[in-house]
Amino acid sequence: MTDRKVTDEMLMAFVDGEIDASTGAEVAEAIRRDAELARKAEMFGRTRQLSAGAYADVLSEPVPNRLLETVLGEQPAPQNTPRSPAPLQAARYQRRSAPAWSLPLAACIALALGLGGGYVLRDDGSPASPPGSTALIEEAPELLAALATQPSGEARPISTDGGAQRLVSIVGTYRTETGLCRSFLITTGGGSNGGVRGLACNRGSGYRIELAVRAPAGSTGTFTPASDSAASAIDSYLDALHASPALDRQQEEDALQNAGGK
Amino acid sequence: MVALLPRLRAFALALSRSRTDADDLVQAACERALSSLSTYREGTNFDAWMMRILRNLWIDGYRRRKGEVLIDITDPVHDPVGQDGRVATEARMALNSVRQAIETLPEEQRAVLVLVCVDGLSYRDAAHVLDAPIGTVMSRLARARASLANALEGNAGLPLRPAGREAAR
Repeated sequence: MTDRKVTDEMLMAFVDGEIDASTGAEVAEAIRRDAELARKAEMFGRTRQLSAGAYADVLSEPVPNRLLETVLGEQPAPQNTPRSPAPLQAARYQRRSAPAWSLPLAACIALALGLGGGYVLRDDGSPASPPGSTALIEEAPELLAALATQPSGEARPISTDGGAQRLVSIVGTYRTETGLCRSFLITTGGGSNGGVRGLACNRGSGYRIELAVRAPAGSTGTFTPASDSAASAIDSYLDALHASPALDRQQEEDALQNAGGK
Repeated sequence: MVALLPRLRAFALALSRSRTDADDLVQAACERALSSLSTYREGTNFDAWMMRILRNLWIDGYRRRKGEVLIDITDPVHDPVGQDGRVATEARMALNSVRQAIETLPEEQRAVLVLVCVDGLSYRDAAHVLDAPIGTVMSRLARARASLANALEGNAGLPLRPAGREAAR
């Protein structure tokens, strides 16, 4: 028998994995000997599970557009000290566990921005919209070709926009459970007006744009501030697809060839 | 911040118990966070920082406007959450009933329950969000879960012992 009384808080912390190893061993032994403690431990585990399930609909349903716009729309440039730059290839993307809600969220972002597949971004001419920020209107063979063949880390022109050159950079390439996906960045006029971050995936019939998010000005160079929510949106989408870490140059080359290139 | 929105909504809903108020609260919290990003300390838990902003907004304005009153339940008396065992069932509990039961908990218990069990914050981060000692957080959380079990399943046989302050750390 243990020397000290096992309190409810100790028992709960044990169930939640919030207890140090030696106390945990003590609690485990107490549970083994005492049916009442075992019953309470089961209650703590069950209530955690039920609580999580009770909000599952809120966690998985689409977030209202106005909230997305609040976060994605007018985000100011980060004011704190410059962060250490991440190489373009790494794209700040690291594998994390994929939360259950991330797929609906990512789908919601794509939907909220009105994006489809197989198109390229073009300014819509609306005076309220900053250049390089808006709609998908026309197909762009240059973008599709870039997705099929262009190595990550290189920027190449794909078209012009009122005299200003539009560049596409492939940021990273990832294996996902649905096929090969590539994140990209489109900038116009050197990127000073921001740009568009996107993700295109080849699910067996060529690349289609699955997500595109306006990126704030100042975040679209070769460095990605950690607060760039456009990059975060891409990350979330990749998480939802259970993406691998970014492929290195050789892996990417092999993958592009195996995918048939175009 | 985008990825955090669903969890912020769940927390806001647990506090306000109103979908409209919850989304207003989340929007206000995001605006506040974006305008004060410079106060975020690198290396600290960003999720907890956001939740704290949201919770403070709730305390400072929204709750007052709704006329709610904070009842800080730290004594060992149980809140009578049960509904005469009406919702008790041996079959799978409808999740709606669970949420209804959670919404009958005192606000401070609701908040900690959702932060830890829904949002997955550690006790320490939840204590930061709620600006309360970790022992208090654990005491509220244990009580909230016992009350929830009691409400859902008529689990009257689980009286909690008096809280052991700062017990598990």
